[in-house]
Amino acid sequence: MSEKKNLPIGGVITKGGTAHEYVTGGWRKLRPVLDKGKCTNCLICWVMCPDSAVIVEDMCPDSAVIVEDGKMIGFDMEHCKGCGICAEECPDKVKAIKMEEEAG
Amino acid sequence: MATITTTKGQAGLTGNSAIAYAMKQINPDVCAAYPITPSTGIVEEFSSYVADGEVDTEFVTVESEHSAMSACIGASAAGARVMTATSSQGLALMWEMLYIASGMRLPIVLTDVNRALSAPINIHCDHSDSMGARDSGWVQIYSETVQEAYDNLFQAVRIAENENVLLPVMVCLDGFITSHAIENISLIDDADVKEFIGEYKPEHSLLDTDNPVTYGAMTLPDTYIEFKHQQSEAIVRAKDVVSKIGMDFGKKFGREYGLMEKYRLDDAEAAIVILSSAAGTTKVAVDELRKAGTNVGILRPRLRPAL
Ligand code: SF4
Ligand code: SF4
Repeated sequence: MSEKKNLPIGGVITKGGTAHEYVTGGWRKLRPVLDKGKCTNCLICWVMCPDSAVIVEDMCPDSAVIVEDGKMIGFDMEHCKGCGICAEECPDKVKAIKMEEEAG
Repeated sequence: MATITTTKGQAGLTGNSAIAYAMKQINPDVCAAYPITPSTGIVEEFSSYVADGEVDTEFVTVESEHSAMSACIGASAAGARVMTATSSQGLALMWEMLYIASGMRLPIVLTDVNRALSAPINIHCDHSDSMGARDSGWVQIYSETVQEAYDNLFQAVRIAENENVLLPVMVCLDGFITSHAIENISLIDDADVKEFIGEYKPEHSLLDTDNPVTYGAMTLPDTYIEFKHQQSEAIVRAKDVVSKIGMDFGKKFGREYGLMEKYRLDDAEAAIVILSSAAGTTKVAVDELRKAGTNVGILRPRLRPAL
């Protein structure tokens, strides 16, 4: 039973995966920038990204780190909120992610 | 274990034993509770029914009433028929979770054995515990006698789960006066209870991984007010549902219940509005006063909040 404006009663969200529709990219002050030359594709950043903003293709679609064929290819900037955890967690010997000030 | 002996369908039971027995007959899927005076007997006796395998209920022992209501909420969101009982400080400790249960529209049934709130500490009855929860979005039904408390519990299940309501329901009875006094009451057959309450068919279940749902998501001002409005409409609809189910109960078991009870009220020049067990004593006083020539009466509401 739903009522006014067809909102499901009790605020129940009646399907899964809707968190992806909630865009958190607007919160970002710092933007992660990947140096592909240094990256070893260990995917630690993909694991650690709290917003799942590291994109790995064929893996969790909610990740904001983008990976294709098991390779780290970048960030989903609609969801990356710029926390810098990926840059912090990228192994010391590699340090392939730098956080840069967002323009404006 | 508690053995209940009946003579011609009647048994002498305390309010607590009657509620525990009604819970056994209802056989809820989950009961999470933390016993507190004067409702302790309910949880104690019901846990014996669980231990003796007389019910299928998953009984969750918790470390506080806050956790009891939290576990009830989780179980109810998982699609279970859920019951619990508490009193006084216990209900007060559940306060935060009461709003979550009603906001998520979970048809949990709670028995509150009314007891005063501290300080000063007092284990006896007043209604400050449930009155503090009056506007928490729960439907409250107040019982005058052991018989009514027993009968109300079955009606509460139907009211809570009614698709026009879907709200948690609190059945209140007076601490010690009703919870500990033995009254001869009529019991309903297990099969009739089963038929009256029916099977619970929740619309959603957190355990249904093929149809995943989220409970308790964030809402901002644009929609929050809509959900509160839905709740408020459901409370208004509860009024009709409570009377309909009270009438249906009367048809089936011979004891009809309305939104309020009127006692010698129609020609009364003065009347007292009074809740729960105190109405019993007041009826005697009304009879005495009428004998002495004063036309007085009683209005006893059963449903809160008043609509
Ligand atoms: S900055 Fe934070 S949110 Fe953005 S990709 Fe890195 S870990 Fe994820
Ligand atoms: S943690 Fe660093 S090295 Fe590992 S995949 Fe991410 S960017 Fe590449």
